[in-house]
Amino acid sequence: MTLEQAQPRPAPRSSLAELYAVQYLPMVRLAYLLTGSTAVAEDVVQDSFVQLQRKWASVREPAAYLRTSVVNGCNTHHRRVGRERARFPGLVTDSTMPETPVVLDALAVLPHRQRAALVLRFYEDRTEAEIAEVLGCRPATVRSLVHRGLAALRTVLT
Amino acid sequence: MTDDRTEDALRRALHDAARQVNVPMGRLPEPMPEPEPEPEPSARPRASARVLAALVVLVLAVGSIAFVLSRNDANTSISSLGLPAQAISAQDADLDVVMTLSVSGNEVAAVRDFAEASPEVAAFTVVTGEQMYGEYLARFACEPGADVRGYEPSEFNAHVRIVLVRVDAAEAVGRELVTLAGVEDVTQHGHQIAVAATTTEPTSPTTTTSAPTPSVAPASTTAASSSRDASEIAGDGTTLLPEPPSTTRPASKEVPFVASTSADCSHTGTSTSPGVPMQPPSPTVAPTEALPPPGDQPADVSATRNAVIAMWMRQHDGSVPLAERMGMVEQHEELRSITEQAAVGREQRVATMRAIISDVVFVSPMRAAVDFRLAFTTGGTDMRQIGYAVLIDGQWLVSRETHCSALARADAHCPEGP
Repeated sequence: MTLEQAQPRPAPRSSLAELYAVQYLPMVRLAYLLTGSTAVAEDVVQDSFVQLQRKWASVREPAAYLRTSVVNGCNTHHRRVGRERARFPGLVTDSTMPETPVVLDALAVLPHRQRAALVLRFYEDRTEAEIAEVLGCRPATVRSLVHRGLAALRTVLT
Repeated sequence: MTDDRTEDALRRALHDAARQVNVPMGRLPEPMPEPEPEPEPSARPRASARVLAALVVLVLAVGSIAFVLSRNDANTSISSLGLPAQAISAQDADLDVVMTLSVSGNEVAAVRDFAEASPEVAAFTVVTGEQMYGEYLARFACEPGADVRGYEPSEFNAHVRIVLVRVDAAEAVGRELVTLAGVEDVTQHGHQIAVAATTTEPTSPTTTTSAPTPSVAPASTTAASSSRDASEIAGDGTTLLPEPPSTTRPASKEVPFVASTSADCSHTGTSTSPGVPMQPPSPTVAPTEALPPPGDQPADVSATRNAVIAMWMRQHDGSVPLAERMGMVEQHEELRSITEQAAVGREQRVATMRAIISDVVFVSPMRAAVDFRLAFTTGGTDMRQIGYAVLIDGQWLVSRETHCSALARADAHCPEGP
């Protein structure tokens, strides 16, 4: 074995097109849960891909970069429009479970970081470490965000 | 409800809602070249003139909105409908008309005229973007850890909050409103009920007087509308003529927005009801921080101040590579990762960042307080901040706490210090 073979190799990166094909819809769904609007979600995801494209050569983990960029983009959206609009006007309640609109409305009034932590934890099933990476905080902070978010939801749902 | 049941309910709802989203995949963005460096200002006189003209128009538009608002007597009555003469809160409004970010004074005036003329509108309040920002600050002022200082008034849309005579007219009124220039969409208690079909073009000077109005309008309110057109908006819609004598002024449905002067942390909800004191918007001055008193001074105050300013300007210059800027931060090795993470998706905006320094005070020969603001060439200025520079190994650096404070405004949090 040569010295070169002994070096750990990074996992092969997919191309931007492959990433787009695989991640576009999941990212739009994630952004939708964070903004309440499909149109906004599509804009945020498209912008994130544009950002990623610009940084493609220097980004080590494109999928992680993309997720963080989407969550940051949703936060920027909340800043612009205020919290009261971060609801789910487009939700077709006829085709959802009866409790879904109630839960989403309760989720919509949480601060962005709590909401993001809950969505990443319970929709994407991310670990605390992964969520901490996306939100740029410590895992203990994620625990606190999830705990406080769930407590707020529980108050509304009981 | 137990933790587990809450978690299950949340998980089910999230997956249920996400399943509804089945958008067709968009087009992969085309490769875009890096933006070319801007030529010297002298090479683009027309662009500079355009920017200057836009600034003048913006200042005039904001001024005219503020003037129109300020002219409204706080006691203006809508008592004919038995409603209190208080600003309409977001919660109390039947309709929330969201204006575009680039809305002009003319466009706001057109919505105001519509509301005055419409028989379905009982009362309305115009809230400028800066006032929305003020509400936002007040709402989050009492939340520990809330990130409010990095927000900019320019990022908030102006709103017009409307109380209807008949709530079941909401959709019809909403549909009419979105035909007006400058209206982005109309929501009813957070739910979007009408959205503008296309991006609106800047309003021409005549648009205000020809703005769509309801087909049936009481003569008195139409008179009010015409009176406003003639007396307040002339020419380009931003020049205001003297107010007519109050005795001839018809009663208006408009309830002026009034912000109080302090945050009330005993209020814990998200309501913005009129009784809740609110922080008035203050886009450029943070009143909570002041420079500390000077302490022992360095041997050569002038030269040292210049060194601090030079470092501070470069460290906050968005055109300087992040790696170099990080080298000017105390304990930068430890903070590099979190800083890079926080910058993700914000590169374009950060690239336009510059520091504007107002003052430097030495609290010791090795520590200086810097009174500064961050400005962005894409628009907007952060609020005034006090940061600290520290002298380490003969080099002035931005202190760890200052850098971490900046990161916190981007929702990123430094690891615990040593």
